[in-house]
Amino acid sequence: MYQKEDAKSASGAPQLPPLELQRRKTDDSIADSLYSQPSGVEQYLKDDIFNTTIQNENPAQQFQDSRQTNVDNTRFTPPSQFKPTQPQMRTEPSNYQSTPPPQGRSPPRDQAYSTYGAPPAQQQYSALPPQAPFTQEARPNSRPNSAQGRSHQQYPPPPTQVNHPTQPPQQSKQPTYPQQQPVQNTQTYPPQNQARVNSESRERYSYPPQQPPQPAMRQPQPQQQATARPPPQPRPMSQDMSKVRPPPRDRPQFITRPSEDRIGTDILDMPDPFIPSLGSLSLNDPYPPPQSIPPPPTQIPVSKAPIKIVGAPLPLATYPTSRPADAPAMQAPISSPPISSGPPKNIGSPPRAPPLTDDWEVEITSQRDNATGTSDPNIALPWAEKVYMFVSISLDDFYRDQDIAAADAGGTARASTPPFERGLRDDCVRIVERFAKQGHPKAIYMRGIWFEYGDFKYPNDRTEAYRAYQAALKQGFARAEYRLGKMYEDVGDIKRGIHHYDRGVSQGDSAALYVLPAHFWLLISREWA
Amino acid sequence: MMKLMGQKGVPANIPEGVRLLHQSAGRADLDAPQGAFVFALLLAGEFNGVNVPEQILPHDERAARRMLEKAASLGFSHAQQKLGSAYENATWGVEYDPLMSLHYYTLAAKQGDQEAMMGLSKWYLCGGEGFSPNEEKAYIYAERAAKMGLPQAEFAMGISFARLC
Repeated sequence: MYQKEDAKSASGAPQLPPLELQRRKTDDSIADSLYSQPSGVEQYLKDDIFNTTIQNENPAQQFQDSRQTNVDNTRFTPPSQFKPTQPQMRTEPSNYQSTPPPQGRSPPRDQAYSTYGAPPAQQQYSALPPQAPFTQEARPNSRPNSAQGRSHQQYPPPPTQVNHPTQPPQQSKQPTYPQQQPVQNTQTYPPQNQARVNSESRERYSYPPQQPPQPAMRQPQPQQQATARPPPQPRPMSQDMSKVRPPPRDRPQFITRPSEDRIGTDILDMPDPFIPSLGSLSLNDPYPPPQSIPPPPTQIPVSKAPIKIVGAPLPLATYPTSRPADAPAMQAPISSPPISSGPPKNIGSPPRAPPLTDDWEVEITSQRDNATGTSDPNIALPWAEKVYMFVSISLDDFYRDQDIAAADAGGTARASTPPFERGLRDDCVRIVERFAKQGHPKAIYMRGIWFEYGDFKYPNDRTEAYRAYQAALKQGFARAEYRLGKMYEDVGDIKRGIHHYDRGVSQGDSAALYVLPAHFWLLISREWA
Repeated sequence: MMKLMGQKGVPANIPEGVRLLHQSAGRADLDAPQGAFVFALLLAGEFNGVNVPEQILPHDERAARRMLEKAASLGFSHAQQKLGSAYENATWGVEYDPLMSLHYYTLAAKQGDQEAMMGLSKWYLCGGEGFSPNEEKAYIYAERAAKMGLPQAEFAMGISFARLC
């Protein structure tokens, strides 16, 4: 045999190398391909054409970019174009206002997310608080069921606003609430909030108000921009965004912190420090939405006339805006002595630790006036979300101790909610109810969650929750698909549940993207649902 | 999407599942942090029942740790407890750090995680760098965990009662 092959090769027709050599060569090529072959994550990252992760060298700009992306992620999801095939239970009477879906084809699966950052037709939301004397005198013509300033709203939105999605909301009629000083240092605890306590400062509306100390990354900006916003300008294609991009005015005043070297960095505001070190495996969104950057401000004429506020000043908060300094973090359970939160906070420099609950308290308190006074849902609703998380965690902890103690004593008595948490909860409920009445999908969705789980003193009403999710879904809020699917799955209707999950996946929603493969494909435990 | 589905309970299309989980982990937020946690577990190979081939998702301890930190910073108590035990036992590519372990255990115990309570109890029993032992707190946390039904904690309570007698 070997002689035959040798003879064949010697005769010349097929120039095959000897068998040994050939085998070795194939082995080498296999090894080469193994070494050169990218790993699975790299492979599908490379395959996807929408993967446009920007690796930036400049850390300052990276910080700004990630901050911008993080803030943009909380934007109002644009209404999508599908029509829900689920039978509508019944339509809500005029409290829910659905945005008319824009004309045109629905974008494909991943492009639908690529327009995520761009705000849709900006809806105008009037400011909290909905107290009657203020709003009635200011806007006598408003309807009774929407007395809290629906007159600012424009329904249906004019076509010019639809065509220019970056057009900011006009806030000419909005009173400028006194800006509140951001807490510079977590050591000064509890933070002092003067803005809420002083009634004269609310009545005066000193214009321009005293310049609040801006965080370090922002350039100071005159407060006159509260009255009118500049017209949209085409964004210049410059790389140095820190010079071009104006500091966003309506953003919440985050606590300025040295980014990574302390416990208690704001998790929503924190730049993701992992991207450069990880190479291709980005921990952020592998398909990041394009950054939508507000247009640079142009010089606008500002009227020098003082703003007149019609109506009575806002009633003051009846709840304590911060916990007294000597009070314990939570009322002590009956049987056991109080447990303060564990380790001392500022020892060493631990990397990237989430804030302890005390730090959350400071942060939430410092943003409280800003969130309750604004008409911008992008400020108020993330704050409300954080408050919901904070209050439910701390109340759960509180009642857990109480229940254990009561079980020992043989009863079921519970102390009343601590006043600080009650005040935060009421503020949160007011914000969410207000925006839900004006039809903001995220607020409707949050209300639905409270109905579903009976949180925040809401009745445990799954029908109402279903209705709320459908209403949010009507405006294209993708997370509601996950909740609806979960409701169907809990009832036992797996097919409809999967149908909703599928639609959530096709809109790129995180919860649906998790639940579908984790529960149905990879058979991961359902413990974390 | 429906084509890829197997029947319920049948694993189907692992590469696509891993891809979706990666997307979910990238987009995790306060409302849905589970994606980051599950993807971290997948990256670390913590699941026994799930065999994700190395070609699809390579084992990456570092990325797994970062993902876990992301989930923990989004307030997910399981991730916080995992990180606490990681700092305690120097797993997941983190260094031994009692203070960080205590920090994460405290966060998770605040959300009612029993194992985290038990971990706190252990730390307070023996103390560590940066904090002194505190038997009272150790007892309280063990008691809580035991009352919530953690067998390990019930055992610890039994030991402590036996010592008293």
